[in-house]
Amino acid sequence: MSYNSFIYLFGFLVVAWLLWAFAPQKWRPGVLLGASLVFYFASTKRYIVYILLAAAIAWGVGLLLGRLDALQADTRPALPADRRKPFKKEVGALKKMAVTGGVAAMAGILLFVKYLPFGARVLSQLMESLPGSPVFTVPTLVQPMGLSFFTLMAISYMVDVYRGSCKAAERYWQVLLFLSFWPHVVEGPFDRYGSLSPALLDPPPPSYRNLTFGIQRIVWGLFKKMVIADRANMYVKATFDDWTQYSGAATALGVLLYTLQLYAEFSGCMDIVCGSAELFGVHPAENFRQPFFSASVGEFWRRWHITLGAWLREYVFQPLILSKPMQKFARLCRDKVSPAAARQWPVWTGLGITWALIGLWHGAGWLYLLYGLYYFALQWLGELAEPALLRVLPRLPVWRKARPYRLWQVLRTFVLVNFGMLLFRANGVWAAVDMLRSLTVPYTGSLLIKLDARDMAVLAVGAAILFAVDWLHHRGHQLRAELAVRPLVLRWTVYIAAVLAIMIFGAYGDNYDPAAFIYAQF
Amino acid sequence: MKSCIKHILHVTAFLLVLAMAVFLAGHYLMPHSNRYLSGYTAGGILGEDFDTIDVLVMGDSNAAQGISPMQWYCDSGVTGYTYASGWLSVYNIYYRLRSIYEEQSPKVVVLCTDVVYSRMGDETELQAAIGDITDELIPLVRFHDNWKDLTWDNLLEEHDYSWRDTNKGFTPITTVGASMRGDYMYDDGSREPIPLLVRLYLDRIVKLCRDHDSELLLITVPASSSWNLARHNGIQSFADENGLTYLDYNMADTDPGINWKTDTPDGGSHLNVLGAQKLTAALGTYLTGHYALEDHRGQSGFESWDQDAAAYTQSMTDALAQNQQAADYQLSVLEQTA
Repeated sequence: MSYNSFIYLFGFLVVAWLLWAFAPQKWRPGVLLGASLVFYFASTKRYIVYILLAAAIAWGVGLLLGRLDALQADTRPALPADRRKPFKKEVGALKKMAVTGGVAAMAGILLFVKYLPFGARVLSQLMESLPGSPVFTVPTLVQPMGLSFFTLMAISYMVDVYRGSCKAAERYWQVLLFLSFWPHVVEGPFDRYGSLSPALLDPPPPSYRNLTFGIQRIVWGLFKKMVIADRANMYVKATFDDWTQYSGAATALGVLLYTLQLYAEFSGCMDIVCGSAELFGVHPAENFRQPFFSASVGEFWRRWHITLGAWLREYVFQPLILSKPMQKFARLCRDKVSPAAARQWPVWTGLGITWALIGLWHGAGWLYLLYGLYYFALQWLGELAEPALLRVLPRLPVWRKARPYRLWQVLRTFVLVNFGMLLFRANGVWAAVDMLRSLTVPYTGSLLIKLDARDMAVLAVGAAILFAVDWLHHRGHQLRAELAVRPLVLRWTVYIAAVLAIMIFGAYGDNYDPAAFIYAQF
Repeated sequence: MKSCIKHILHVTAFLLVLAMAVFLAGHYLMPHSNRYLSGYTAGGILGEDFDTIDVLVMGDSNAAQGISPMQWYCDSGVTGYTYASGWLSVYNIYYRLRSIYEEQSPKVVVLCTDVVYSRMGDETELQAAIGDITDELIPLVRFHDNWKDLTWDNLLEEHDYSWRDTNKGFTPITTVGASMRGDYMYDDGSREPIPLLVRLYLDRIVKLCRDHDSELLLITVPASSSWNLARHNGIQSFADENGLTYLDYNMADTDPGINWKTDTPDGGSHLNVLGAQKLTAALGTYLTGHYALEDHRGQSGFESWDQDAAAYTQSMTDALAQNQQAADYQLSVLEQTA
């Protein structure tokens, strides 16, 4: 059930909201759980067992951690002073074992289903080069919807309970609701149990504001997806799938439109899901904050797919650089190289691993790994070049405060991100190399590929509206709240114009080939 | 409570205004000519004088390329129209038939049953139904892309739905692409069930025809690549349950004499002019033999049909010659490769 389908918007969502709104308060979480399971089952059928299993593991581990904490709190004060420390250590070791087991189980499910075929393929290719090695194949497993999202959210839940930053859920259904909550199970965002569960388990009563604001956000998401992304998809599909036919401006426009498509689609999907959740008084984490106004790739990634970056920072990067092997590595650097190296090298190692994981999270393939390492290389080179730049341009810190320099940084980041998008969308590493090479070859054909001039005009106007709204948000405006206090005629005109724009200019029907949500594949 | 009622009224008023805007926009974006109302030339039926069509054929591209009602007029004076276009579904047909009844009172409605089992791409049954029904109920959804046809010149132009099709909905195809499938109606004992929602709308079509005193005749256009005995059995069962006549022209006993080496343009999906001529003749014989259909030739009010018949005869002579040439070439190629 796609988030922009008629069945979802006018069937599922309406029925779920009515049931939720008219249910007694204590049944409302049950309605949300029922709706989430129906949504998930409708899309995945028997593969629902994966999420049931993940929730069972996370709940069990959480419960165990909670019980161990309670045991410690109850027992420790009564113990003699000399027994308290060893007891704490024993409980700590048990907790660590429990959380490690839980995380390993969750990572195991993810690795087994998503990465095993890729790993086996790589191993098979390596072994093929050895004489007399056995030939083996590993069948591709069906990846259940949202696997990359609910396993990581389950890990975050267990780790948060272990760290004491959220309380363990008492009931299985509470964890199941958190993991399967339909607005975030397909494409995220990566929510945290601690911040989402209060609204999920004790939702606020239905409110007119939540209802209208939620619908407005859904409409805005649909505009991005159906008017911009699905229209751009036709050009993108042609230029990326048939990359050998195009070069120069056609390829460059294809890359630009892919960037636009991915942004409009992913952020549009987030608008639809956040709007959907808002109808029920739930506010998932924001995943985008005007990423194309970023002055560096680092900033870009703090504004693009925010919750993935935050998840990896908190649950991979930080534990990694604070881990014993990394501290040992830091000491080694200090002893053998320099104190500066001891500060920098472990951090860069941790960053390299994190970026590689960001790439691989998107898919099991070399290109995705390359995609992640591309951003790592950009950040690393940027840091390395900084001292040299300051030597050559001593006035750089002063210039950096000027508006034109900021504009240059934004443009530079935009171009670098577009190269990243080329890697991300290309049909393989060699296709990406070919496309990069073809950018320098002049293209003499028409740039109206699969789209006519009117489609291009709609894309241009759609993109202008998208970035104008982003700009207003960037400047601190809260458009829905500001519009809500305007005269009724103006408000209704805006709302009706938005709906008509989607219905008229939406790329749906026989003449178009709308794409499935891209991030739903990850 | 007071604020709740206020909000409900507010939302209701907004939805009413929105609905008006959507329907106005839909009306505005409808094609300026009935020529472009539907695929092929189905829209031409709106250009016919009221209550002049006695036999209405409804179906998808198989019907549009396979049944030529003007041939009936030339042979026996029966007026007919093939309302058919690519991927027309049972849902579409129900709503289109309902609107056709506003202008025409056909004595016989011929429903081509290919539509019962055909579905585009990887859509589910529910998705297909919702998509098609939405198309029919909200014109803006169906015609939304027509904004591209708007120019400064036609921006305020009135709709003109008087265009008539001399072929009466038939689309002649003169190319040949042989089908080498052999016997495609072999019996494996199965019966393909009619999907639930399709069945629901078939029942509605049956009722609609009864309400308008039209006889409903089910037929299947020969199609070696998409039809089989299991599907035949499914339709036969439906026909039996509803007391309807069903003619499957894929069956040996009703075969109009289709030569799959020469009478199809695309390997057995559709019929070309040679095949259409055979099927139309066979269906015409059945219609005149089983229903009280008037000979309208020379009658007042049917002058335009006589004019159209002359134009049709001329164009079909050319089309047949062209098709025959293509058929001869196809046969020679097959002989060489045999």
